[in-house]
Amino acid sequence: MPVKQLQSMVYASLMAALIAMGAYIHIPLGPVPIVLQNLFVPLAALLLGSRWGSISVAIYLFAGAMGIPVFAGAKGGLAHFLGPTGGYLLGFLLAAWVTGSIAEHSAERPVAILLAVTFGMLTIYAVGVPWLKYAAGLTWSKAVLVGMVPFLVGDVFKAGAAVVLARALKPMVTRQLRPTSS
Amino acid sequence: MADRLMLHYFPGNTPLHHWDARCKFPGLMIVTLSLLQMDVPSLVLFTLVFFAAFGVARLPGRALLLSGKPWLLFLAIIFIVQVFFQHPSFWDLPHVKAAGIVCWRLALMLAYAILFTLVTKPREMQDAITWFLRPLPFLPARRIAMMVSLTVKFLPLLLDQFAEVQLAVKSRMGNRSGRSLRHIKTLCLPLFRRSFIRCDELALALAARGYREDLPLTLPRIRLFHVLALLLVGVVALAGALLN
Repeated sequence: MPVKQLQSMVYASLMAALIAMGAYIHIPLGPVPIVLQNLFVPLAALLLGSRWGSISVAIYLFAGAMGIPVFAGAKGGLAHFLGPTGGYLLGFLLAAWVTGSIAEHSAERPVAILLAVTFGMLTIYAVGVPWLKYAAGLTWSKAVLVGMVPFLVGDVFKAGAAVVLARALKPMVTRQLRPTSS
Repeated sequence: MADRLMLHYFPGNTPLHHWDARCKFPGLMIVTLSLLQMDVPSLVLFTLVFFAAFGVARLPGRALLLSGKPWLLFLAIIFIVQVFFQHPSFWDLPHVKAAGIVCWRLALMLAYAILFTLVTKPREMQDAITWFLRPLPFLPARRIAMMVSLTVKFLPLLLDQFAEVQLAVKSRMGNRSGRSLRHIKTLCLPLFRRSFIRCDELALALAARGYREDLPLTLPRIRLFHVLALLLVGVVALAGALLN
């Protein structure tokens, strides 16, 4: 296997571990907790691109599904995908792809990267809120009020942090991912 | 290396160490699934089963303490938030009890996951995942197994590196600047830089050892008593459900 592919594989695993660490730092308010996962999900996509970013999220979800305690609140298990927050978990996967795809076509412009992260975060809610509505039996307004509104202010900061971190770390990753041989 | 043993394998020669990982995985899944719906009597049962399993595995209590320590504060925060912020009329007994049950349940989920990683070699975990995924077409089973195993390996490594960077910042009095954003930056960037260098070293080590994905998986047949042990886990989970 080429070294570059092995490097991408190891980097994606590291980002999956970082997403898990982001889930450990969480504040359980209401049915959907405040977590740092949605800071590391766009960061993975910005650093590794849409393909490997999505793969890192998929690996994170798979590890959680197997019972390893990597979800918010150090939980794990397949049942979490069927619970009220299952949509957010699946939304992470789509968000990584959306963020990575937009960023790849933006020629590294900060505004475009911010836009990519914003669309990525909206994707999480686009999947998570309807899921929450049906899983918890809420009305649309209640689902938006409980599953989206309380997190928007925090998300603005997280989006800003993701862009700043991505701009600082991208040269490091690009340098490290430069193949030494194939 | 810091003294964190979180999600590390602890060598041993006990039935739990020898239990086939292809049965241990479904066992862990059954336990985490059943814990979600449990109340006090079944939680007591699962706590007793956990300590019995921990005793059978002959693991030092220090290993559990070191693995669980990072989560103690986190469980305490969950408890406080559940008691004080979830209900308008906080600090009455039913709410404290409900918060306690949530934390107990979480602590048990964590404890079982820690026990699983303490008695399962990363190689066995990797082989078991490959074995489970092999029948699914279009999925690179070996690659997925390797990546999951790396993710689990990175969790304690990241904590270690974070502790080291934090110590380095403290020794340079970087934590006294009073500017929290600057402090976060001085912590984050070295942490990421170190992690990326470690990733690079790992990838080169894998390449140097000739990592291949096309090698056939040769695992022995699962023995009957391994399956019987899995059935026993199922029976305990059923008993827990009936106790509720």
